[in-house]
Amino acid sequence: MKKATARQFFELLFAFTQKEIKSRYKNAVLGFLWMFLNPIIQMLVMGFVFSLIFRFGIKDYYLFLFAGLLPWNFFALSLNKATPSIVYERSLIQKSSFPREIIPLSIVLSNFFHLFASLFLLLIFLAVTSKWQIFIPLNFLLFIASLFFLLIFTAAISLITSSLNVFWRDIAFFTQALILIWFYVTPALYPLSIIPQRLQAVFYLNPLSGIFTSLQKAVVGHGSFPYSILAGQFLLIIFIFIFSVILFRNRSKYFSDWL
Amino acid sequence: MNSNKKSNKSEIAVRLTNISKKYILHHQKPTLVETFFKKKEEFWALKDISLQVKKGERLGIIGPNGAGKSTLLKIISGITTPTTGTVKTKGRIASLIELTAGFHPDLTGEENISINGLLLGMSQAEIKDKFKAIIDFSGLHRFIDAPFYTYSGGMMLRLGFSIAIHADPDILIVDEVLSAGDRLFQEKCQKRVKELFAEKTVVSVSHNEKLLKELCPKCLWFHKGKIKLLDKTEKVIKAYIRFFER
Repeated sequence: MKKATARQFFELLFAFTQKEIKSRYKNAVLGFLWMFLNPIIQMLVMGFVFSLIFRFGIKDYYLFLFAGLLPWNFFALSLNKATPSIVYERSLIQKSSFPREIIPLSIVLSNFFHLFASLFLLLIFLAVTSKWQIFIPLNFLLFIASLFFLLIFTAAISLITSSLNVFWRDIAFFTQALILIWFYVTPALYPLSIIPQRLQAVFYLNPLSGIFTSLQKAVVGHGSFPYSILAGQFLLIIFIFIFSVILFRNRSKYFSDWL
Repeated sequence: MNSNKKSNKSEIAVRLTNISKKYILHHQKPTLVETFFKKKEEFWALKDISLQVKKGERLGIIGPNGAGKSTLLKIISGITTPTTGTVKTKGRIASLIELTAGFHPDLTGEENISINGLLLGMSQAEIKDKFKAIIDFSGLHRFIDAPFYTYSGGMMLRLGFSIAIHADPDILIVDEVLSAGDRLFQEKCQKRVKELFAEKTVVSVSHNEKLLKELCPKCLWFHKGKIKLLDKTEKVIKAYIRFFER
């Protein structure tokens, strides 16, 4: 494949992300209003249902939930949609030569944009109800860093699954199952602190555990995650990302032969 | 590559060296065991092709179905990668293979111009500059802010064609010389195609021998993944027709 310049790459990525976002709301009467309506409805339902079912003895459990479930939705939706994306865009790939990364990455980015919109609502809500803990610099930094690494990690996994799915269509089914399992082993609904001490080491192997615990800590203001392990997980995410880019580059040369 | 860039005429636009392309034949595999253990069947679509196209040259390609013509075009335009050998191309390549591939049905004509233009290698600034010209040529002023799914097939082709010719490529890859839209638009297209062909490096596959003679001075005859003959178009087509009359 002919190498695209950085400018071309980012212009195309931006245009595809825009397309992804716009086309979602194009023919809805309420249009972009859905971008905010959806997360509000979602949070109301989640807050209501889950606050009744579990509590784990956490103060402001509904806030704790939002801090975990909104980012989780981003991760799960992106991965679910990006995995078969290369196969869906086969006509484009067979007819045009452009950096194939654009397809899964634009899906991840458009979902990230939606996550941003819903987190923005959450921040307003926090400010209005004068729960200021997230605006403490250290918490806010943790919040931003966690979101950033969540984005990188989601992009990495999406690149891996979407490229492999071209050659083995089983990957899409596998990913669906994986997401379901991953949801329950990631501290999104529950705090990491309810896990027995000797099992926590196992949870540290999941790169998402640090991200989610940090997000919860930033939003609700309690719970903790050892910084050294968090740093280790961030480093691991960077490695996985580099690996995914190399793998994708390598595989994408032959996409058009398998579609 | 060549160091004296002044000698524009002899500059190489496309250089293929020992290109081969292997495909795996996908058969229906009834059992899991077969999927993993049955030997993979191979098929060589191109066998050791070396080819140079100079800047400004117009090369036609003929050959029966399955000779490897489209695979060659895909390799030149970077859509697929050869199994062995190297491809070197110079400048922006636009493949006029499928004009409507990059369109999204839910977006408007305007938005689709942007995306398709980027896919053809234009920059955002360039698209902005040529935006009006693209719409003018397509003649779709009234519908340009309507969603694409409301367009008729002819309208889609017109817009696709209009974007492609405004992309100002250095190398044009053409699979079957285009005919888009109604007769009036076709005439407009053919005229523009001829103008474009006169300025650009062109690699064109066609079964229309008359058109090839008219547009491409040189022609390549492909047969079973190999080059059978490369010569003046007149000669190649004569030999080609004789070969199949026998």
